[in-house]
Amino acid sequence: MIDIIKAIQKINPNAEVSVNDDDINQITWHNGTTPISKADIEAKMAELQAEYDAEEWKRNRQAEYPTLQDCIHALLDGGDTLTELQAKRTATKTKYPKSGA
Amino acid sequence: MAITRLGGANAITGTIPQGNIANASLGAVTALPAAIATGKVLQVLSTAKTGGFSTTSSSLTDLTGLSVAITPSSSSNKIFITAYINGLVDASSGAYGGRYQLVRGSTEIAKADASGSKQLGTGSPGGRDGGPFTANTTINFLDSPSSTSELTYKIQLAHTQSKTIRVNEADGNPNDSTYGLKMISTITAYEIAG
Repeated sequence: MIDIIKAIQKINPNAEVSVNDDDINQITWHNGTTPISKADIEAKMAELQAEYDAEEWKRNRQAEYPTLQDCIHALLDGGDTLTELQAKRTATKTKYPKSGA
Repeated sequence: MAITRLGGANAITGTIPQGNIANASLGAVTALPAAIATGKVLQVLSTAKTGGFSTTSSSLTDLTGLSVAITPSSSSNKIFITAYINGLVDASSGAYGGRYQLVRGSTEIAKADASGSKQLGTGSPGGRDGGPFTANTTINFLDSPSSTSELTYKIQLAHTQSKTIRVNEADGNPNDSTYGLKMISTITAYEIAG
């Protein structure tokens, strides 16, 4: 799950709060911040986790794409080098299709 | 000859050869000379925080679980505090300011000199710059509390730009095995004979 404080900041970006041991029962609100209910925090955590999971394809692609340096070399060299690089990128895209695609 | 002068019962000077010192005679020693009575470590107490902590507080707040209580045996004794904290300012939006403050009870100790409107502290967490990696901060401070009551030393922390300071963890997502590191922090108190 997405951590608690990240969910709280999504609900209230100006919240001043502390969270101990990643425990929703150990939240301290500071400096007049209006407390947010546990239910609202948990709902936001689930929403953020769904967003995170939905972008797994993007993280997988980024991990396997050729490096920026490889791309520059391929663009400068052109020819077979560029063709091979484009093939690698296409294979990675096919391996990890966009979520919902 | 190792002994250089014999001038009476209290006037022996020189060096005794190592082989002539018997363990049995050393074992009979019951007290150190008064001249070196200070500086001895009388007790050591330590706490390790193994769980995570995160805060967006702009005012100093307790780092829950990172405290140590010690009772000096004499008011002339000193307390040497060492704290080792793994933390970072999650500065994904370019905000880096954060501070740690060593506190005895409710008294801030080990504090920097005032300087304009700067926020003062004992130490600072590392800033995130291109990667969610923590920096460890070590605090060493010799306190002279002049007390024989139980004293609680703790670490407080605050962000100066209302972002997140994380302690013992490098990333907010527990399922992130690439950047999701977890560490521990410790605080240790040594009572030193004064």
